[in-house]
Amino acid sequence: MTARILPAALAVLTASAAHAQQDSWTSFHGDLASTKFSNAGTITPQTVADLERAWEYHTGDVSDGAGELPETVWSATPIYANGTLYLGTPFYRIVALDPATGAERWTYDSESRLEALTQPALKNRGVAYWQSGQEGVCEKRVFLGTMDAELHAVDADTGQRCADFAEGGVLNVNQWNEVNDVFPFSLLQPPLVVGDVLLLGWAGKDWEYAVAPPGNLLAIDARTGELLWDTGFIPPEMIPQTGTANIWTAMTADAELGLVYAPVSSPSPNYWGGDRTEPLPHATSVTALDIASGEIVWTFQHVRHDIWDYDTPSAPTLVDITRDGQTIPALVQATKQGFLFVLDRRTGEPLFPIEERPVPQSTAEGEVTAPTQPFATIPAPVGGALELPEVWPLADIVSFGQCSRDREKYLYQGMFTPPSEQGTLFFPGTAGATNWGGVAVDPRSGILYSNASRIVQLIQLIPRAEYDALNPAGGGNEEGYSPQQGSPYGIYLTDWSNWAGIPCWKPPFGTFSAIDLASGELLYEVPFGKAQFHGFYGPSDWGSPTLGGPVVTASGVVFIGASMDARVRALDAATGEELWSDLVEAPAVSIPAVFTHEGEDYVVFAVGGNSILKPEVSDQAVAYRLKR
Amino acid sequence: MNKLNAIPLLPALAGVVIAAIALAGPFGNTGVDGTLGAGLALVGSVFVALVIMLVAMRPLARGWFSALMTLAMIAALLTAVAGYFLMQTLLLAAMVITLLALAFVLSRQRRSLS
Repeated sequence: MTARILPAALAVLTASAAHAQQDSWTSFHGDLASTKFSNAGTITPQTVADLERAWEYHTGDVSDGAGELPETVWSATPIYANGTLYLGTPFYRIVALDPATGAERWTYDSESRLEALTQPALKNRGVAYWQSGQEGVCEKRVFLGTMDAELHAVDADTGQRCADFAEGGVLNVNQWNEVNDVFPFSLLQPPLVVGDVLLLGWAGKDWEYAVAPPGNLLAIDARTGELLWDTGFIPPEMIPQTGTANIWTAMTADAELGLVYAPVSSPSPNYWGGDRTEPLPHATSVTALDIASGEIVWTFQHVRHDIWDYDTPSAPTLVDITRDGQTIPALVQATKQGFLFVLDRRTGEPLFPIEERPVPQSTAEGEVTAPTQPFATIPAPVGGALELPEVWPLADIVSFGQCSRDREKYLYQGMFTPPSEQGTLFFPGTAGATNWGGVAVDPRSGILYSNASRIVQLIQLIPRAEYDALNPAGGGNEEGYSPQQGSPYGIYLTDWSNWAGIPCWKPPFGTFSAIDLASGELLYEVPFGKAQFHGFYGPSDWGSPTLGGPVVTASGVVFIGASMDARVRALDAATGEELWSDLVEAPAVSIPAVFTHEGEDYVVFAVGGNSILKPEVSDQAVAYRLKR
Repeated sequence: MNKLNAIPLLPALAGVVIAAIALAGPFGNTGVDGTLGAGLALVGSVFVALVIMLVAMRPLARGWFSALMTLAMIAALLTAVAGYFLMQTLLLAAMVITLLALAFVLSRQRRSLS
């Protein structure tokens, strides 16, 4: 770890926290606490039916992969700051729009290489915003990362590069990628801005290689681009054998405590750990670091010896919980397993019982599985993640019993059943019960809202010689073949479906839940969205798998896209009942921005699509407000 | 052309147009554009329209008439079901009207023959 923090930076931390405004939407999750809570109050369950499209805008940055460019995946949360709406695009451009009209104010092109260097698609999850509090050129900045490891800083008013940041406004983050550098640090998630510090993780491809760049968190001076500190998550002695345990998703910070909470992903390779059997305590964890020094303060590892790609997928959400008359500063970490771990954010101590339960053991060559895994008992996991869904009679009848035969044929002994040569049913699958959208919390009531997917996958370990003979044309991280080069196994991963492509497991395929964080009680869990097969929509009680997350407002409305049926919806926060919806051009796999501009409340979705849900992409940004 | 028999043709042709729009999406996203389901709905609605045209344009023996009308009704029903599951309300409405019109024509025809 290197540490060169400027003392002045910390002074700003506390100040910026005091100025946090939930009428704005200045970061990926709206605020540093990642509550995804908006004070917007005019859109209520009674008025939401009067929502209309204020405007829509097409960035032009879209590809379905059929031409020369890779497919695009656009999961950006629009940022509302400085009286402007900022979008990052999957062609690594920034678009600044008038929030009221959608009129373009300026655009900036990073001129990044449009190549799928580390991902199967060109991906972007938006931009970050920083302001110094002073007036002048580049005293307000927008930051954009690229897949080829550049961080661009531009003036928020003009879109011109900030010359005093790194080299003429462009920071080559790959200069710190010095170990096992089999791929570049892809900056798909915008940095978290805390005071004058940019906290930056990166994405890679841990399904491709056994040995990969070791995961780390970089702290960078927002004004100069200087590296303040660099904290790694893989013990130095393990670096020759493994890698990743990186941070590819959003982070959260508590400026008063001076801590950043990092959702650390699984180590490489994803599905075999025979070369990394020694403890990796920070891998697949939520880890708190001191923002001033980069020192690790505490770690909560929620998967031991991860061989399921159960990356910590989203920023934890900060909430204060009152218990026995005392207010406890807590955080909630949503996971791919569906568990919601509620921890004291000062210490990492659990606030609800967590049981260490014995789990099935692997028979794969060289593998040494962890004997136990942590199970959060309260709150109950979202999406019913503990129980493998039953075989779906409809899919079974259509396939003349294929699904039932598969159920007998493949291994499943509960959550954390290890990948196997025989084939393992994998639930929740690698896209997780929850993913980058995370959860929303109303800080006034302490009620948490979460969408969850229920996708069963089939994973097979393929011995190296057999895999090499197959010579598959590659895959991705969520489906297809992956080589795990340097390990004895390649893998094949797919959704568990019959010959007609119908899921073999019983619906619902996705749910929406509300949980009281004070008691851990599940208030409701209802099917959410509509599944779609070959264009046909399933009944409402089948639900839909989801990617993207919810926002809850002070007026008791939840806004969410996320479903595969390409609808954006408003739900009644009290019941989960759908109040309003609108058809958009593709699944809105992002988190909406909800903010108040010139006295009117707006809800803006970036509509990008994601092939995990269905092969449909778009470049549409669409804004809603109440009829005037 | 038998004018009575041609009554269901109008909603059936409307169904063809609606199904084609649902599949091609010339005015924007329909939620099902380019999908197999929308393609099947178009095939179904075209089939219904063709059968109705055949019945309306040529005098047919009673057996053939009844068989073709029944076939058209089954196709209209299935296309209506497809319209429901494709969330294409207009297609559903067009096919239900077609179905009712076919039933009306069939009942009138039977009454006149009895």
